[in-house]
Amino acid sequence: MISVEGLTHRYPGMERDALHAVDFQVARGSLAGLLGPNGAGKSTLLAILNGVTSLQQGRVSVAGRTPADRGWLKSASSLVPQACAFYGTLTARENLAFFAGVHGVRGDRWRDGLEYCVEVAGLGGVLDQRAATLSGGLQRRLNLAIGLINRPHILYLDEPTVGVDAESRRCITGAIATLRRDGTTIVYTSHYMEEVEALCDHLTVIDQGRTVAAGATDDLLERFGGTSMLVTLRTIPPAALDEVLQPWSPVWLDARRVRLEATDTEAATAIMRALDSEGVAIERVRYGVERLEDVYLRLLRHGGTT
Amino acid sequence: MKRLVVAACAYKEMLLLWRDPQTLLLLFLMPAVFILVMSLALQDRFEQGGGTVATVLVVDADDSSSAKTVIESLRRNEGFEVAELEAAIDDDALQERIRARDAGFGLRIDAGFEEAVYADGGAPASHVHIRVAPKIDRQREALLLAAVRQGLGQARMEALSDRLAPLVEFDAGGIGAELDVAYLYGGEREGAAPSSVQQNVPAWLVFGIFFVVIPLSNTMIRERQSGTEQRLRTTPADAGSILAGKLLPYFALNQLQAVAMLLVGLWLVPALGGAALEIAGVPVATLLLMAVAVSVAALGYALLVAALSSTTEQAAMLGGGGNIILAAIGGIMVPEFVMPPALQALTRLSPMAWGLDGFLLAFLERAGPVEVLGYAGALIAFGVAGVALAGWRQGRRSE
Repeated sequence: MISVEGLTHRYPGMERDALHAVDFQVARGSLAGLLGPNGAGKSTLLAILNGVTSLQQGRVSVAGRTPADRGWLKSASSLVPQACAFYGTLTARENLAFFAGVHGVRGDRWRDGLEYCVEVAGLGGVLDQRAATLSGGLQRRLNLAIGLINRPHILYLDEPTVGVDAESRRCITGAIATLRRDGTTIVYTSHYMEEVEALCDHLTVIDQGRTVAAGATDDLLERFGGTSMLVTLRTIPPAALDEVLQPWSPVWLDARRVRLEATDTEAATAIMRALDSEGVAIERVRYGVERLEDVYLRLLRHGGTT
Repeated sequence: MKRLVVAACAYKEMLLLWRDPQTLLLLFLMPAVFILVMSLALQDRFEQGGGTVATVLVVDADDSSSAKTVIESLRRNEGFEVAELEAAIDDDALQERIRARDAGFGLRIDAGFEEAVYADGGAPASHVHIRVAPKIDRQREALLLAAVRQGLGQARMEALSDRLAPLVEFDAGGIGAELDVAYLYGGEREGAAPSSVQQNVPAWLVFGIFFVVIPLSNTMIRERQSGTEQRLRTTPADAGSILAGKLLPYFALNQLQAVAMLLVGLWLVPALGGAALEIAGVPVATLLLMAVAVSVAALGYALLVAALSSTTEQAAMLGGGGNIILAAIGGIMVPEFVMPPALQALTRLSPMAWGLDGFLLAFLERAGPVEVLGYAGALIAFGVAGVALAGWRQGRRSE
């Protein structure tokens, strides 16, 4: 559905590329996570995919179309920006009507689109309230609903759940799951790793404009988290334990949790023996699979290969 | 598609304006208040002849033909209203009457005036006494002295004529006759110097129209800050249609402002004691053309302010402050014709002056659209230049 190869982009007057030889693939109907710290180049990539920013170098194809076909790109896709990009003094309905108008949506398409947005984003009962008077969570939902008013085939979500309460977060992630079921291809950026891990079936991590890692979520977790052993101790251990664990590059996540590099099962066994010989009580051991957040942070710290 | 986008944007912008009643009120109330206050306050200054009519209380103790000549000289001057008192009134009583009747001047002609006029070395001026009320300024005083001196000269000339009549044929006619006077804005129309209301209605109308700079630029900056502008760029709507839809309601608002300010001049100013704006014979097409041109200039300026500003505070400073500077140098706050020549030359730099001059031509000379085309064209060019510069700046910002 979306294929990006060797994408390079540099803004005028800047010394380094905002994007450098970035590769990015998203299959039709899938939900792809695009991860990276602030300034990594995510927004630039989304702007090029949206047809807002011109392609400088590389190959981009969206459903077989090139970025030169801006009209089609903009009609077929929709961006839900990180900020609540709508008018506070207009009601939710008026905002939806306005954005429907600029998408050229009218008549039955407008009525169907409104019904769909309200249902998916859970805006029933607040349509005639002014947007500025809605709670933060409902504003986020309206922000999402506006992005759905043209019933896009491709949806770009830029941190759609930032700063919302648990109920609205659940509503939004539920809406995203619904959209995916409906066949919408979704590119999702977020700093909430547990969300990304739960929702996305494909991940691309970019940092400083370069692709650090890309692949299926499970593959990445296994590939980059496969040699780690996370040990949780029952009590805070003596300081001397760190020296004992040095052969396995200990990283203390907190006073009782330590991550160790265990390249094979022999190393894992050696670690367990060392802990036992020091008389340390173990509460829990996890081996081979890490949380996405740990993988992500390690990728940013040490880089990775795709 | 384009029409739908324009309609959607225009409707949205109308709603945003409608839900900002303070701004709307300001856009109508501010120029209306300026028109009222300035028209009424400056009415005296704009009166033909240099100000209000000052009453001159006259005591003619001589009751002679020569004294009548002096008094007639005053009567011919439109700046003075002559009220003759009883001849028996002395100087103290005359001063008391000036105070009591709030008059500007007292003029006392002593008995023996005509005798002095006819006598060799008679010094008739010593028989004429002038009393000036404290409220009278030096300029008005000089006018009265000139009028009295003119009367004295005419009386002396008539006396000379009488004495020479037996010897030579001499016609003293023409002394004190009206001079041909044409006012700057007069053209061929009689008494066409701008009145207070004629100056202030177009001046503050232009000023009010330019004040859309603030709400329009603020709306655009808020769109940029909230990410709405970026979001709109991801839609298939073209920038031209979005801009047209955004500007249309402001353009319509400007036309409503123009109509409202004309109504203020027509009805509200006279209702509060001022002179009414005279629009009989003023070509509507000229007014319409000027209102459209001023609006185009103001909207272009607003887009430029929005493009140059990063925050609404900056836009308020740049737009509001810029408007005040353009008004100050453009003859809006102080009429151009009372400025020194150097400042008058500076007014040409302000688009507000172009708008004001176009309207004044319409009001004072009943100029047709073709005659104001130069002003209208300059304003439209200014607006187009503003749009072009704003587009260039916005393009660089988006890169």
